[in-house]
Formats: sequence, structure tokens, C-alpha cells
Amino acid sequence: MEVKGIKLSEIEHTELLELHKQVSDFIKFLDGEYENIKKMEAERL
Amino acid sequence: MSKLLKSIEKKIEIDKEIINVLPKTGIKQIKDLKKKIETMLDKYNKMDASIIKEMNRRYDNITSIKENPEIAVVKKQILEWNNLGLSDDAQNAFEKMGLDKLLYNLNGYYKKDLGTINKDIIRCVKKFKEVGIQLTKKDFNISEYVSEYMSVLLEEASKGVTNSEIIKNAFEKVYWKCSDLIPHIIVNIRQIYDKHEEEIELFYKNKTEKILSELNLTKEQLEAKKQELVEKLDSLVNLDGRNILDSFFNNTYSVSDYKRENYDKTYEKIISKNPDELTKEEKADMDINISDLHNNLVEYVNYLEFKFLIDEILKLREEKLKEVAKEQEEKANANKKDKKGKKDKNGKNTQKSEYETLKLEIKTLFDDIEKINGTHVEEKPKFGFFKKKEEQIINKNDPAKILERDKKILSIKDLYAKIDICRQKEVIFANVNDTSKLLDLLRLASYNYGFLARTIIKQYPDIIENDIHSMIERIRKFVRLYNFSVINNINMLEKKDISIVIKDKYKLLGMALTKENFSEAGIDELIKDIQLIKSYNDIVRSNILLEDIQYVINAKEILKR
Repeated sequence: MEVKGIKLSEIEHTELLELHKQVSDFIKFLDGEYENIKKMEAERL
Repeated sequence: MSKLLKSIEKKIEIDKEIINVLPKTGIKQIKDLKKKIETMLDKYNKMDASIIKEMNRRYDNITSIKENPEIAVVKKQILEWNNLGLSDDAQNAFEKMGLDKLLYNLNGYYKKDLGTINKDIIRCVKKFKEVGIQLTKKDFNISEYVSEYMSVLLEEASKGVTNSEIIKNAFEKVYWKCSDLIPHIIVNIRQIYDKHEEEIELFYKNKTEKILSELNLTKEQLEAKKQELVEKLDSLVNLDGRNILDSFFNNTYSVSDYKRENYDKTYEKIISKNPDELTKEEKADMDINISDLHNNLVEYVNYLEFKFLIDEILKLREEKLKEVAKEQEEKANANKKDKKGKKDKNGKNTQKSEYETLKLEIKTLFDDIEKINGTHVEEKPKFGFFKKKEEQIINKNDPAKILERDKKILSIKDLYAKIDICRQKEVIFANVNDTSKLLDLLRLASYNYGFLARTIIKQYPDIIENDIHSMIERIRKFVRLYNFSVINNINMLEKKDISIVIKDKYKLLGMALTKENFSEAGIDELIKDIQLIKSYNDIVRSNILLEDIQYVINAKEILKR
């Protein structure tokens, strides 16, 4: 498994945990944005 | 921050910016942005799935660590030797069989359910079987109630059942005729033990001799070997990755404490300088000292917790010494009055100790009961035959006799309670002398379950039954399995403050310890600090990495494992 050309199996534990944090936090952000945009779309239609 | 993290962080920033700057006024723009977010979500979810997969792979890999198989082998060996009770001369067969615990439990029958009581009765029967005495219903003949109930219980137990409807019905039937059924059974079991006591003592003696001869060791050598194994087990467990990891899983240790900066800070607190200032050799020596101090502190704290038992032993010894002095004085006075004194036909002084008197009283009462029951057997004549009378209970239709017998059974139960206390004093008197160490006293206290339970209740009057049991287990485990170096060397009569003895030793070895560290307010913190340094060192020397432990504990929550 690679992310940005770097094998996940080769990174340190702390990096992996931090990576997960960054990505999962951003997914939460995207989920929030997606809900907002869906509402906006519904209002316009 | 690593290259990867920086790169992802940058990518996330860009994607965030795209979402922020894209126009969202018209419906087409909104749809475009929605599509964009969906694409991003898909991309990041896939990335997250890869990360989670890798996290799970590492988690499984680290947590699959197995306990060193040598630990189980050493544990088994220690337990086997412990169960033999080879070096415990002061422990009698009654205690070695475990009847002390079972009968203590039965004595509290009114707090338990019938199923538990039946199990304990059957356990008693099994204990006799283990020492070569097969009990049958004929042995339970102290009263017709016991005979009736035990016939059913033994029959059912032979089928592996101890709480069937048949047993419950039998209990119901007998109980209303005699609500003292369980005390009757208790007295009956004690009578059986008394009858076979010599035989059982011989069983243990022979077993001990056989094992020692097989091992080609003396009792002392075996005890020394056991101590070596205890030390070995301690070391194996402390350096075992599986056990270390479990200590984090069960919250004995916390990952937030086990950080290098915390270790250095704590070390500095104990030795008043940064550990980096020590040479490699000095650090290695100090680590050993800290490990020893940890062992001493745990021993000291346990000693403080169980000191009330030592105090009770010393109190009983004091009482016994006074009783003996009084008896001797009385004997001397009697001899002065009448030079011959009270002597038997062989010229021996017939004055009996309290223990002997109680034993005789019990025997007399049992004889009376057997006469009423018609089960009395005359002493075997040296020559010729002796005839056992019919075993069936012949006075069952004489209510006055039955009442008299039942009173005697309950009297015996009370006498056994007295003789147990009396025997404890006799054992203390015989085994404790002015050279005894604190550990000798604690060991002596640990042998008899009834004594332990009584003394614990005296110390903690509100304690509940389960806590008594778990405390006794802890005391026995401590006495049998601890790697002692303090209380096994301190004489029971020394008035030394053990904390000062420990403090002084480690001050000499360069630790910045004060009296306050050992005060009630300070000891917990000291132990916590020493434990942290010791465990940290153990982890470094073990087959698991601290980084792996920290990862597993952090990942556990995320992965919901």
C-alpha cells in the first residue's frame, strides 16, 4: 500500500497514527461540507 | 514532520482551498462543487481504508506476541512444590488437606445457598479420598439426620450432581426435623478427621519423604531451590513482552507515564541528578539498585498491610508464655504442698494442658454420642476379638436421648472452636522463639484459614466474606511466592523502623530518599516513581518495544479493538 509514493508499511507508528488523524479529520470536514452543499442544492431546486 | 505527512497536509490544504474558493451561487456551480467533494471523499476514504488496513496489520502483528513458555513451566513447578507443603512443618494435615478452609466455609452455612454448601461437603469427602480414605455413607452416622441426608447427597454426588431436586427434597425433609443439620455434618467431618489423623499425618510424611528422595534433596535444599525459581519467575515475567503488554491493556501501566522525558524527570527526582550524567556502568548499577528498592518497597507495603497478623501471633505467644509460667508456678506450688503431686500409676504428673483437656472433653462427648447412637466401639483389646456393635441408630425413638445427643453435638462444635484457638497458641509456642524472623511469624499466621479469617474480621469488622477470602489468597500468595529480602532477615523482637532501614541502605547507594518518602502521604508516590523507572528499564530489556506498546494502546481505541 502506498500513499503519495511512500509505502505505508515503511513509516513509523507515530507517523501512521498522525496520518490517520489528518485524513480522518479531513474526511469529517468533507462530510460536513457535503451536507451543507446538499442542503444548498435542495434549497435551489 | 515527515515528508509524507507534510505532503498530505499540503494536499489537504489545497483541497480545502478549492472547496472554499469554488463559487456556489448558481445551481450548476453547486452541483459542480458537490461532484468535486464526492470525488475528494472517495479519494480520502480510499486512503483512510489503506491506512486502517495497515494499522490493523501492525496491531495484529504486535499483539500476537506470546508469553514465554518457560513462565508456565516455572509457575507449575513452584505451585507443585508449594502444594506439597514440604517445608511447612508447623502446618498440620488438617491444614494441608485444606479442611480448615472448607470447614470455615461450612461454618458460615447460614450465609450461603444449599448448592455451595453441598459442593463444600463433597469437596471434604474428596479431600479424604486424596489422602487415601474413601468415605461412605456409613461414616456419616453422628445423627440420623446426617445419615439420611448424606446417603442422598453421596448417592447423587456419585452421579456428578450436588444440587438436584432429590437433594433439595432430602434437605427440606431433614431440615425441619433438625435445623442444625449442617453443624451436625461439620462435627461429623471433624470426628472423621480426628479418627484418621495419625494415618493422614503419616500419608503426608511418606509422600514428603518419597518426593524428597526422588528429587534427591533435603527440605532446606528444596526450599532454596523454590526460592531460586521464585526469583527466576519474577525476572521472566518482568521481561516478558506479553505480560508487559497486558499490564498496559489492563491499565496497570499507562502509556502517558512511559515517556522518555517522564522517565528522565523521575530518575532525576530519585538520584538528584540527570541520569545522562551517569556513566554507562554507573547507570547499570543504579538500575539494579532501583529494581532492588522496588522489590523491598513492595515487600514493605505488604508487610504493613499484613502486620496485624504478626501482631496477633505475638499477642497469642505472650498469652501462651504467661499461661505456661502460671502452670509451672501452680505445679511448683502443688509439689510444695504435696511432694508427690497429682501423679498417675506410672508416677507421671497428670496435670493436663488446656489443649489436652479440650481434646479429652471432645472425646468423652463423642463416646457419649456413640453410646446413645449405639455405634460405640470399645477400645480394641490387645488380644482376641472385639465386636463392633450394630451401626444402626438404636435410640431413634427416645426423644429425650436424641435431645441430649443433639446438645452434645453442638457442645462439640463449640469445643472445636475453642480447641482451634488453643492449637494455634500451641503451634506458636512450639515454633516461635526469640530468634524468629518477621517472615516466620507471617508464614505461621498464613497456615490456618480459620485463624486468618478470625484475625482479619477482628482487624476489619465490617469486611465482607468475599474480601476475607481474597485477602487470605493474597496473604498466602505473598508468603509463598515473594522474593523476600527484608522481613526474612529482621528479628521479630527488633524494634527497628523498617522504612528507615530501607531508606538508609539506598541513601548509601546514592539515592535522594528522605523519611517523608516513607510517610503515609509519600510512600505511594515513591512506589509509583520507582515502579516507573523499573518497568521502563524492564521494557527496554524485554522482547517488546515501547513504541509498539504506545502504538497498540493508541490504535486500540481508533480501531475499536
